[in-house]
Amino acid sequence: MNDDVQLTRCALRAAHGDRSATETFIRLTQQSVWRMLAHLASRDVADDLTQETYARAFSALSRFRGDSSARTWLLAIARRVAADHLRQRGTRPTLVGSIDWQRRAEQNQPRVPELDEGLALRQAMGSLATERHEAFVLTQITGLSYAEAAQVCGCRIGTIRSRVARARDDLRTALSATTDTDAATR
Amino acid sequence: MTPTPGRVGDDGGMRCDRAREGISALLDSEDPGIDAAVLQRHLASCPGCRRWQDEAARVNRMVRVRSTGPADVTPDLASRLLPQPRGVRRLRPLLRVSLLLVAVVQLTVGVAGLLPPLGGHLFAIGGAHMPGMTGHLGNETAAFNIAIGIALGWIAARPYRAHGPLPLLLAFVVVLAGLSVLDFATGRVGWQRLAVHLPVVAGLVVAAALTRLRPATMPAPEGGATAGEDSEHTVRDEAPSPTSTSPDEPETGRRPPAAWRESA
Ligand SMILES: [Zn+2]
Repeated sequence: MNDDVQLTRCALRAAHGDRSATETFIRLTQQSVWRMLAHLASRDVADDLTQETYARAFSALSRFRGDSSARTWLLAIARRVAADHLRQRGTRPTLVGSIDWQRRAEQNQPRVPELDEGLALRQAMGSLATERHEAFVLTQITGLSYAEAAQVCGCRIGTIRSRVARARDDLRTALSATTDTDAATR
Repeated sequence: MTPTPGRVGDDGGMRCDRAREGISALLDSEDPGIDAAVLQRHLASCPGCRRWQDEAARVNRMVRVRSTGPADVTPDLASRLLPQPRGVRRLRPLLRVSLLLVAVVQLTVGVAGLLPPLGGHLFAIGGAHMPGMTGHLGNETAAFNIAIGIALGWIAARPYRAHGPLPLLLAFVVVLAGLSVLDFATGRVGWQRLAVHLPVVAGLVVAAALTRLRPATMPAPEGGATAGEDSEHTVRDEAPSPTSTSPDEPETGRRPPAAWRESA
């Protein structure tokens, strides 16, 4: 990928103190970092977690040799920042259990089908197990290939493939349950 | 809802979960990890997996629509993300050490105020010997000086939390400066006594400088990076800073996240 090559060059130049390369590096990456963090953690902490990601990245940049692409290197840091944040927050948010989102869906009268669908999808994604959720976000939202996602997560490609499939299975089950609830309440 | 894990079709015994991994990977144009012909045979013979394929494709469309909508616009944070110049980064530890020293001096001033005037110069500046500053008033002054010393030390230890005590320090120094000028002009106080206030002024200046150089790195347990704006945050979350910087560490987080929790 040409973008990745350019980005990796930017990172290496930034490591040597090149200011404009640093700016380019930020400009080319901040969107996908923010977006990924908004999904892995939540939107309202995405700004802060993005800042934390780049702070860690710049302090570790001198050790970046360009062996992997700068994009996956940076996203791996972002993923760890999100994991640290979730661990530090300590408790799991309550609005992710299946009972809860069913109740939420029922309360949502009158129905706007699209809004309903989006809410159900959010809830379903929120209730995915961490590893499946990560694999799903990296491949479906961030748009990484399985190979890149495997690099970010530090696992094998087959593991990503299996996690994504299981995430899809969980989402499918959760969303068909919403549809059933819809049918039952009508 | 009729998932049939482990069901065997007439395809040489491929399990449904392997087949579904393959189906899922093909949705992403990735290597299915199994022979495509075998997968096709399984699909032809397994209605459960055919249904799974349809539903997975539907989920996929939903995700695509959702994740590219206008609601997913990302902010431009470039100015917050740029690293500080090297010189600035070197200045930080220096300022922190200076602030710590100022804090120690300030604490000494405070503690000295509690001691009875022994005639020694160092102890005499504490304030207890001043006319009208005996008894409880003197203790009160000492307590305040000690508190400020602690606050300065606290800022030195946690510069990213400086926003909390800083307004109080500033207010104190401004009022104190005004009163000092007044008292000095009317001859109610001498240079020697005013010198006692120098540590507070120096502390304020160094603490303010340190705040300006606030590092990007700070703990953000609940969006706490801008915690300076509400002091409630500042006091409440005492959790330690995430300090790991190496991207090579094994991760240990296993907690299910809350996707889009607040955007609903
Ligand atoms: Zn099957």
